[in-house]
Amino acid sequence: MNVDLRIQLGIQGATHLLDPIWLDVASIGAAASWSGSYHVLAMGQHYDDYVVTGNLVSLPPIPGFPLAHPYERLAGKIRATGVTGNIGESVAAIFARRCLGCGIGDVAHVRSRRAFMRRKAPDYMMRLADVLPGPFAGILPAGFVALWPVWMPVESKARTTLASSRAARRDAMRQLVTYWSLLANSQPDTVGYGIIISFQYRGNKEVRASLMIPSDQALLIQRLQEDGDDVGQQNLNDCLYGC
Amino acid sequence: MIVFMAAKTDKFIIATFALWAGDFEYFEKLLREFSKPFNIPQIADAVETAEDVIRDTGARRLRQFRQKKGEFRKLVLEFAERGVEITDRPMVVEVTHMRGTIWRIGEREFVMQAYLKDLSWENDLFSRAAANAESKGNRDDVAPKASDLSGQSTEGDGYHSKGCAWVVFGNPFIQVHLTDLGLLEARGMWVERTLPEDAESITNAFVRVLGSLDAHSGEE
Repeated sequence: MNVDLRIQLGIQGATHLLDPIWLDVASIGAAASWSGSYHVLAMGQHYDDYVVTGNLVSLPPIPGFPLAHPYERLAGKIRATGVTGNIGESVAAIFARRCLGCGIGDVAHVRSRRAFMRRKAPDYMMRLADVLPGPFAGILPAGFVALWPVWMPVESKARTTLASSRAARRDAMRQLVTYWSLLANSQPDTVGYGIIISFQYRGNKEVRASLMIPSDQALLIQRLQEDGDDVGQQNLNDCLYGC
Repeated sequence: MIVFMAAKTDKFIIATFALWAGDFEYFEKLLREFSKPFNIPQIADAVETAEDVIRDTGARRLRQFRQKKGEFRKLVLEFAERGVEITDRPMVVEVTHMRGTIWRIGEREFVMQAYLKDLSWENDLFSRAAANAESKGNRDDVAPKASDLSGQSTEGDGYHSKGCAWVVFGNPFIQVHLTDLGLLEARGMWVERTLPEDAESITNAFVRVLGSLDAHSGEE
């Protein structure tokens, strides 16, 4: 199944459409079985049931045997949050490998089974300094000179609708703020940098990669040192591009 | 010549692969080498670098693993009282750059989950797997068609999977799938009327799959 792929500066900046990303049953199933926080054994089949990927259509036909999809079995069921959570977590790793060109050793899944901070650790740490800006080059602000941190935090979400995806990106940004507040004193150069990957898997399906970069890193560091991860939204808007 | 320098964090990443495969001893070994002691009460307070976040996650996973291991020991004792022996150690197979576990999941069904233990082999792994997947019809025992198994269209623009899939005919009949992240899952079905008389009948077939993806193997 090809899914529209958009990149975005911050979580409110303009978006730019890239070539689509292929999110098939096998890719999501396998990536999620590694990076998903929930123990789900047949992730690929769940994914196909939840989003209807067209996987069946790709199978070699057998005359007289119907292409019957079990989607309507969901009529009496609720989508399991663990499964959708796993789908969300897997998309970032796939994006990193295919779209950013990361090596296997550049993608570390670090989300813990239990949160070890008040808010959760990022889903991933990715070694991106050598591959950025990559597809994001066209959306960087004019004159912006990035000193990409070697390792950057990456959050990954899957939601059903446009509105819930937007809300998820905002939640993800707060999780990045937690990470930045941890390193505001010891590694201030890393503050303000991160990526949020969101996958809207119903309606107009879309993967969106939102690049977080600081517009005023010094001010953001100061705010984080003063307020920790409670720093207010307006303050964040003042310090980050596209927020 | 580019010389691959293994990063310290490789151990963490390989450990997550080992945990995925259920290769628990190797997982534990790697994380013991990479992470600080897992019994520090407030690990997050010690975070000073981005690498510390990864290291701390390793320590936390190790601690959670030890808890699970403790739970399993109690189960083993309960089974032992009934005269049944169970273990948390799967069949482990290994070639030069890869390790894998083989699990029995049904009377006749087996699954191997394999991964790179040397990340510098990444490009070779994918190129050898692609060659396996492309060699359809050229050999009797390898009849692949990646799109049949992974549903992938290779036509048109877009970001396609780096992985591939193929099948190995024989007994056991095996379907192999390599993912974007270099994780390999091979599902085998024993198709003879009677079950195998020894483990090698199963493991050898899976080791040949790994061998076809590794260096200096007889299965090229």
